[in-house]
Amino acid sequence: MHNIHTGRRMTAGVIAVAAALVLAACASTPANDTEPTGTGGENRTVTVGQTIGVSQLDPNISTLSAERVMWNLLWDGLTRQTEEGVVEPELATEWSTSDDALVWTFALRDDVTFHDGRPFVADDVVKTVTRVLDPEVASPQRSKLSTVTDITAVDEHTVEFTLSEPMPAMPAALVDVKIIDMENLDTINTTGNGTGPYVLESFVPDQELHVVPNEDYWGDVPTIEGIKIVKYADETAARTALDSGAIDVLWSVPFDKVNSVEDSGKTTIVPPNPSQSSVFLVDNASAPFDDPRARQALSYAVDRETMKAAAFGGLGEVNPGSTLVSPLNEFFAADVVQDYSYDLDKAKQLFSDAGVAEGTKFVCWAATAPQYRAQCEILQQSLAEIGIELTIEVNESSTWAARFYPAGKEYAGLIVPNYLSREPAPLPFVASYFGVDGWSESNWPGTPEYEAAKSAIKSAPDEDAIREPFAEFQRITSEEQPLVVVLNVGQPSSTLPDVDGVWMESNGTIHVEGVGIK
Amino acid sequence: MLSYVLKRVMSSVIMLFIISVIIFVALRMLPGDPTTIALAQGDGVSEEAIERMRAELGLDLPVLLQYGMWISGFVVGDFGSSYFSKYDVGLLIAQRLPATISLAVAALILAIIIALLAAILPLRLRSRALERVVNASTAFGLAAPTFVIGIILVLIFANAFKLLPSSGYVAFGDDPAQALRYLVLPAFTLSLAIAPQLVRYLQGSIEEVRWATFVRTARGKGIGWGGTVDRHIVPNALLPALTSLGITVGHLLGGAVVVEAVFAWPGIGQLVVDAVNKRDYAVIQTVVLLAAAVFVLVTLAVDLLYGVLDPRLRVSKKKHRGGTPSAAAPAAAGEADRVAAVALEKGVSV
Repeated sequence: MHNIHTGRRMTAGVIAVAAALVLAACASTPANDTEPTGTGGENRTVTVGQTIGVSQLDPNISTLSAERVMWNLLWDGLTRQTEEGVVEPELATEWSTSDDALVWTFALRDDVTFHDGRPFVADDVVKTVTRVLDPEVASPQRSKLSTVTDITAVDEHTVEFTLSEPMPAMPAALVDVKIIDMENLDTINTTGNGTGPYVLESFVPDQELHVVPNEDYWGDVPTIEGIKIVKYADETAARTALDSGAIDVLWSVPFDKVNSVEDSGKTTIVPPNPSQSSVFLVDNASAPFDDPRARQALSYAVDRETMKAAAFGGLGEVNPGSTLVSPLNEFFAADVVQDYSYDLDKAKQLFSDAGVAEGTKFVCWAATAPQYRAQCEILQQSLAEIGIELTIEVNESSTWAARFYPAGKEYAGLIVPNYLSREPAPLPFVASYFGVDGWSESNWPGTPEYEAAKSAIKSAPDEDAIREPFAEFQRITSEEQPLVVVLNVGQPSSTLPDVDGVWMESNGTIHVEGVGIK
Repeated sequence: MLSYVLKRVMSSVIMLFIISVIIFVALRMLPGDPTTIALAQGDGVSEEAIERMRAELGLDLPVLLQYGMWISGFVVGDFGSSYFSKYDVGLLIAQRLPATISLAVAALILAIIIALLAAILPLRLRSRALERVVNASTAFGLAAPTFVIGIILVLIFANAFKLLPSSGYVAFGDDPAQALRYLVLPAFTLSLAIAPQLVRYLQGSIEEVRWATFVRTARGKGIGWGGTVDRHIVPNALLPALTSLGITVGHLLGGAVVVEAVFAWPGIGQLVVDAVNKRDYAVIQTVVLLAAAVFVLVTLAVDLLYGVLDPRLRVSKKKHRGGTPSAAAPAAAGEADRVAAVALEKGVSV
C-alpha cells in the first residue's frame, strides 16, 4: 500500500508540473523583450541575432567580424565613421598636424567618464595605443598604425602621435582603436568598462551580451531599454527567430536567403559602397600558382556572373578587373585593369603556358557557408571543360582556416574561396595587404613598382594625390592577380519593419548603437 | 555486496580515465588550435605572434605534460580557463548549468508522463487501435530528427499562433512565470525526443509482467482488469524500466545539444559546440569529461539502486550461491505463465 500511495503522490506531482507548464504556455502576459514584436513599445530591449557569438569584449584584440557589433556599444574611439563614410571626432574634439605631417595632435573631450565613474584622460589613450602597437598583443589594428613611432600625453586632454612617415589617413586609422580601461584590463570581460553609450548588464560568452544605456554618457543617451546580442546555432534557427519576432535584427543573412527575407516584410540593410570581396585564394609561393599566368588563367576560368546569380542571390557587383577596388568605388580605374570576363579558351591557353597540363588536379577548399560550396561547384564545372579536375572539400571553419592562415603558410594545390573585408579606397590600408610586410594569405611577395605605389598611397596628402597611385595599385594587382576577385558584395543584415537606426560600414561592421523603434 | 560496489566504482573510474585520454588525443588530432581562430584571421598577424600565443597558452609543451596538467587540475576542481573569454571553465559551466538542468528536468518529467500514458493507456483500455497509434507515433518519434520536431513546434506555436516565444531563456530566479513560458517548447521538444525510447522500454517491461503468475493469480482472485493493471502490472513493470534511466540520461544530454541549438537556449550543449568550433580545448575537455562522468555515475547509481530496490535479486543471489542457475528455466517458466494467463483471460481452465 505504501508503494501505491507513493505512486499516487508522484502522479499528483507530475500532473501539477504539467498543469503549470500548460498554464504558463497559455498565459497571455507578454514575456519580455524577446517577445514576438508588433506588441512592443518604443522602449523595449532590441535583440540582435547572430550565428556567431561574442566570445570576449576586448575590441582591440577582436578578430571575429561577429564581435564588431559590440565595439560601438561599450567603447568609443578618438574618431568615428559616420553612415556617410565621413570620419569625425568622437573622444577627440579636433586634431592638427605639424608642417612636415609627422606629428599629429589630438585634443580630447574633458567631459567623459568610464562606466565606473573614472574620468577619461590622455593617459588612457597613450596606454591603449601603446598596447595596440605591441607586437606581442597581435592587435588587428596594429597594421593601420604601423607608421606611429611614439605617442605622448601633452596634458590631461591632449595627445601627440609621432609618425615615421606622413599618413594623411591617421584619423581614419584610429576609428577602430577603441579606448579601454587599461588599469583594469584583467577584468575587461566581466566589466566591459569603457566610455561608450551602453554599459554591460550581463555577458555569457558565445551566448548572450546584454547592455543597457549609459545614463552618464557624454553624448546622446540611448532611448531604448537595452540591447541583447544573442547567438543562434545556425541560420535556420536565427531566421525562424526573426520570423517569429523574437529578434529585431539579424546580422549576416545568408546571400541566398535575402530575397525570401525581404518577401516576408523585413528590411534589408547592406553596406553602401561595399569594400567586402568574394575572392579565390591560391598560394602564390608554390607551383603552379607562383606563375602569374596560372593565376590569370584561373581568373579567366571564374564565371563571375553565374556565381553572382547562383551563390550570392544576385547581389553584388561583379569585378572582372579582379582587384580589391570595387567597380562602384569612385577611385576604380577602369582603363588600367585587365578584363577577366569568363573565357575558357584564354584560361586553357594560359594554364598551358604556365605548365598546367590537362588532367591536373586541384582541391577547392571551402568553409561551410553555402556560397563557398556553390562557387566551388561552378568553378569545378568550368575547369572540367578545359580538362582540369577540381575536387571539393568542405570543412568547418577551424579546419578550413588552419590550412592556409596565417600568411606564409604553404597550401599548394588548393583553391580557397574566401570573403575579405578591407577598407575601401581612398583609405590606404588595402595597399598594405600585399607585398613587403603584407599579411595576405596569397603569399604574393610584391614587386618594386608595387612597393613604390604602396608608399605613394600611404603618404599621399589628399584625395587628388592618391588617385594616381591607387590606379597603379589596381593596374599591378589586376595584372599579377595575387588573388582572384569574383565580386564586391556587402554581407546583408535584416531588421523588423519597426526598427530603425541600424546601418553598416563599407567593411561590414554593423552599427546598432543608434537603434530605435519607430 | 561491498566487493560488487567497489568493482563497479573501479570500472567507472577506469572508464572515465579512458574517456579523458580519448577526448584529449582526439582534440589534438583535429586541424587547427585556439590560436587559429583567436589570432590567425586578424590583419597583420604573423606566424611569430601565433607561436608566442601558443607558448603563452602552453600549447607548445609536450602533449603528455599538457595532459598531466589538465587532468591533475581537473581532479582538484581546477578546470582551467577559456582561451577566448579568459573566464574560468567552472564559471562558464556555472553560467550555463541552470539552463541545462531546467531543460533536462522538465523534459524528463514530460517524457515520463508521455511514456506512462502511451504505454499504460492502451493496456488499461485494451484498445488495439490506440496501441497501433502509440506504436506508429513511437516509430515516428524515433525516426524524426530532434531539430525537425523543434522547428515544427516553433512554426505552430510561435509563428502561426504566437502562443509561445520561439527562442530565448529567462531564469527562474528572475521571473518564474516567464521562465516556464520560455521552457515549454524546448522541454516539450526534448521530451518528444526521448519519450519514444521510454515507451519502448515500458512496453517491453509490461509485456513481460502481464503474463506473470501473480497477475494470473490476481485475476483469479477476482480483481478487475483496471485494478490488476494499476496495482500489479504497472508497479512491477516500472522497476525493470528503471535500468533504462542511464541510457535515457545519455539521450537527454545528446538531445539537449540539438534543442539548445534550435531554441537559442544558453545551456551546456551550446557551450561545448562553440568550444569545438573554436578549438577551445580547456572548455571542451572539461565539459565532455563532466558529461561522461554524469552518465557513468547515473548508470552506476541505477545499477546499485536496482539491487537495493528489487528484493528478488537479493533472494536470487542467495539462492545462486547454492548452485549454477539454469538459463533456460526462467524462459520456460515465463512461457508457461504466458499460456496460463492467456487461458485464464479466455476463461479456460489450465
